Amino acid sequence: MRDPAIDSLFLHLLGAAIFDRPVDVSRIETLDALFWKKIIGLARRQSVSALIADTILSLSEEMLPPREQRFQLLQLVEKTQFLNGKLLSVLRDLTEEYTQLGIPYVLLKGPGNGTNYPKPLLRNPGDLDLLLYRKGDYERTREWLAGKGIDIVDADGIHYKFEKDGVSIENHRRITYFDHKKYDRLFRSVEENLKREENFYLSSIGDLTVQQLPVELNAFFIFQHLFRHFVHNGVGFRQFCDWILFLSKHRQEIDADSFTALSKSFALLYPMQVFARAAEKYLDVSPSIFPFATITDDKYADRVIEDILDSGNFGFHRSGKKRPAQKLRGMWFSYTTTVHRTRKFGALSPEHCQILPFTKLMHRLKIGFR
Amino acid sequence: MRLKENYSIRKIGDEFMMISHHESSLDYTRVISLNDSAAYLIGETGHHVFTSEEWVALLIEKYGIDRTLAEIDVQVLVDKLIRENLVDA
Repeated sequence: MRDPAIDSLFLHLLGAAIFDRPVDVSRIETLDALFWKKIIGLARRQSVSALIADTILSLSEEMLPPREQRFQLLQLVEKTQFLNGKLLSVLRDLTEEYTQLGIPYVLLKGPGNGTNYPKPLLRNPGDLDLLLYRKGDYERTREWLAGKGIDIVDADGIHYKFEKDGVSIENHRRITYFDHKKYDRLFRSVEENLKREENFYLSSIGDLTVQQLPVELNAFFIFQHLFRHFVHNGVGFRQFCDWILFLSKHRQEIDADSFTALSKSFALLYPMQVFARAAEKYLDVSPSIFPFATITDDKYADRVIEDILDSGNFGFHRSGKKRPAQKLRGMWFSYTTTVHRTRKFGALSPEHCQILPFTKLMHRLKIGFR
Repeated sequence: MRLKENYSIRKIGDEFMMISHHESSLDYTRVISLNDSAAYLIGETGHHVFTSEEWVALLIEKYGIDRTLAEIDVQVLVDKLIRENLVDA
C-alpha cells in the first residue's frame, strides 16, 4: 500500500542523493522506525537503496533512524560498493582478455552510467553489457567462450549471456532494437554509421579507460532503453536517475537541435518531454539539463511517477497479482501486463505502445512457447 | 599487532563505525561501533604495526588521562578487535 508521505520523502532524499544536495531536515525531525523502514523498503524496490542509505546516514545524530537501522543502512552501502568493486574487477579482467583477442568493445549502460553519479559505487549494479561492434567478433567470442567450457544463454536475438566470477555479462551484437519495424530499420542505419565511424566516447572508470557510445547517441539510447522497459513492464528510479544524471553531466556536449531531431525521428521526443517534466516536478531537476524544449503539462508526468513508484525495478514490485511460476501462465501474465500498460500509456506514445499487443503476440508465435 | 587490510571508518551521527571487508565475500563484512578515542587510535595507526603500550601513550598524550584508565581503554579496544577478527596479532 502506497503512502504519499513516504513517497514524498523518498523523492526528496533521492533528489538530494543524486545531486549531492542538502536534505531539508525539517522533513525528518519526528520520524519513527516504522517510517524509516518503509523508506528503506521503497528504496530497495526502486533499486536505489545505497543512494538513499548513504544520504540518510549523512544526517545529524538527532535526525538519524534508530541504531539498529543505521547498521542495516551501512550494510546496504557496503554491499553495493562491494558488488560494484566486483563488477569493475570482472570488467578489468574481461578487457584484458578481449584486448589479447583483438576484440574491442563498447560498454553500454551499467558502470558507464555509474560514472555520472556523485558517488559512482553507490549506483546499484546490474550486469555488464558489451557491444561487440566489429564484424565477426560476436561469433568469435561465442566460440572462444564455448572453447573454455563456459555456458552461453541466448537472449532476445541481439545478445547472449554468460557468467564470470558471479557477474552476468551480456555480449551484444546490436545496441538495442525497436518493436516497431520502421524505427528498428531506422536505428539499424544509425548503428551502421557508428560501426563505420567508430567515433566512440572514451570514459574513465577507476583505472580503466573504456569506450562508450558517442554522447548524443548514448543520451538517446539510455532513454530508449528506459522507455522500452517502461511500456513493457515498468521501470524503477535507478533507470530514471541514469538518464537524468547522464544529461546533467553531458548537457554541454549535446547539440539540442540535433538531439531533438534524432528523438523526433524515432517518435520519442514527447515521451522524453514527459519524463523530463516528471524529473523537474518530483526530483527538482533543472529543466536546463534537457537538450530539448521542455513542457509544463503534468498530465502524463504525474502518471509516469505514480507508475514508477508502483512498479519498482523493471516492474518486479507492482502491487497486486504476481507473475505465476508456471511457464505458460507466466507468459500470459507478461502479455496481459503489456496489454494493460498499452492501454494506460498508449496516448503517451502511440507509435511505440499501441503496436505492442500485436508485436508481442507475433514474436511469441515466431519463437514458440519455449 | 596490525589492523587487517580493507577496513574503513565512517562517522554516523555521533558514532564511529568501523567496517571491515573480506576481499572476496560480503559474508565476512564486519561492522563495529567505536567511541571517539578508539576511532582516534585506529586513525592514527592505519596499517602500521602497533603495540598496546604505544596506544596507551597516544591516549595519554591526546586526552591527558591517567595511565590506568588509558590501559583499561586500550585493553577493551584490543579485545574487541581480536574478538571481531580485525587484527593480526
